[in-house]
Amino acid sequence: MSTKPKVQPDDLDLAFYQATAEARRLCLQHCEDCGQWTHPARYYCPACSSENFTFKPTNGEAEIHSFTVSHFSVETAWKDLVPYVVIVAETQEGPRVVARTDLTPEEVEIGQKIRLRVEVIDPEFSYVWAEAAA
Amino acid sequence: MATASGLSGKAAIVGIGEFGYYRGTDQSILQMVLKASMDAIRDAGLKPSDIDGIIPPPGFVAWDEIGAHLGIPDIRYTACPQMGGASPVAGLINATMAISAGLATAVLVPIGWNGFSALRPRPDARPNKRRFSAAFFETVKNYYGPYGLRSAPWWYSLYLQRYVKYYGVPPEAAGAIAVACRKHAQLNDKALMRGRPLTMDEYLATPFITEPLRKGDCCVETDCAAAIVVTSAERAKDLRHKPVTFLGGAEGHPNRPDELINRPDMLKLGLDYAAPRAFAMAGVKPQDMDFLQIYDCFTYVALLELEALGYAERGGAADFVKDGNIELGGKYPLNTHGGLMSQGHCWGMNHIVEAVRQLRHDAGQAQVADCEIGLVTGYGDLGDGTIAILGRGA
Repeated sequence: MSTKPKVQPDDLDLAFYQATAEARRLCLQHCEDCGQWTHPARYYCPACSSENFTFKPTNGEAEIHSFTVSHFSVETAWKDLVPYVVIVAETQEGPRVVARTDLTPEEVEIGQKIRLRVEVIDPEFSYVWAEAAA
Repeated sequence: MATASGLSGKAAIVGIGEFGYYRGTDQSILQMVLKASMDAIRDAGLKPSDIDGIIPPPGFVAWDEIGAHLGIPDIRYTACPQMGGASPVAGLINATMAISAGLATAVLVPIGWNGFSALRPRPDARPNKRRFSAAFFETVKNYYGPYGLRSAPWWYSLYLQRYVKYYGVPPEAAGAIAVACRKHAQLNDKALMRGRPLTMDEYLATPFITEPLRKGDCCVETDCAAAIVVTSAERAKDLRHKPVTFLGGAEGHPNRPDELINRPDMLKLGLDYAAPRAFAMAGVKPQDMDFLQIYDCFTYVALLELEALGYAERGGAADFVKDGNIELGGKYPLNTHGGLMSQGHCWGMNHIVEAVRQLRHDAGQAQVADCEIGLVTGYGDLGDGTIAILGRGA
């Protein structure tokens, strides 16, 4: 179980985290008029300027768009975990999210298929985790 | 040659000032900014009462206290571009616009910070209350910070690793930026890294901070300030120094500016949008430049900027930076003062100051012989970009 980071989202960022915690799945903003998926959420759809949206569960399928391997940290929560991998995951729905992973530096490469799950920390914050696709 | 347009030729930089560069100082940010400002005003041969516009930095100090401390009696114009390290060049463009529009006649553009001391205060130091804010902090706090991505190297690594892996950019390309900056710093009394030369092998041996960034890819934390004074091209002819004329400039921002990873093309920087606009305004080509002062917070960012400027295709900067092409004596000397990498991090105002020295032919051992035209870039926050093309004489 991860510890809660110092994060106090508000506005649509809070709505995103609340929806994700409630569904226990990564929920992204979905335009009810044109079907566009958007992250981080916006008050106007970047495709059609609509204000009608919901936060909908994603199917969890994604691929690695980019990543970093951190070899240094001064943060208590992270310095014992180096080298740790952080992934930019491109969801099948389109938007990209940052994700933690237990994949090792040797195991990650751009374009690799992954599966996303969430670790609910509290009703207003969840971690996104990436694991190798089955 | 194409025709110049817009603000081209409307204003000139007539004064420069610097305070620094230090790792540790007992001077406050306000003191440093005021000293650099007063030096810039005096360098122009002007008095504080001649200044009627102030474009302050995007944080730490504000236009009203700067004006009050310097004794500027009649402030006619202020504006504050908020785009981190892209702000100084944006300030220069904004000053040119205000002067061209008749809203001001002489504009001071200062910046400064305690980039070293804020992180490592002396035991007897009073608490540092000076802060700056940026809209993107919300994105960072909500979506990057919780994942062990603490500050700029970690945030930028998210897109720089794709640049390196997808395009096969070799570390030696980034190393060429670090080595050139360090080499030029050896010629500069004001460079933090003077006396500490760097070879490619030494660069490659520096440890990774967060991939692809090695320690050798990161600029130096610095206490410093710098300032410029801008006035009309007409008035500049009567002042102390050879004027350095604004020939073209532009700003640009990634789509979307407040976050990094959901841009359609994660590697398209603000400078990709700005550069063609600036060259068009100046009526010149990238190949006409005698030097390049490139915002080098991180070496790989500088490589992407060179590509955005048109010196190489995406992913192809390695060929451009090799074989001394960007070193003094090469075709495109880059960061002839040492840059943020090796002179010090003054938000790129030091790049503008160096461009002015070069075009005055007052750059000492680092002088690019007979230079007539050069460019300065800015890069800030999550990829904001600015560029100014400057020329010698009115």
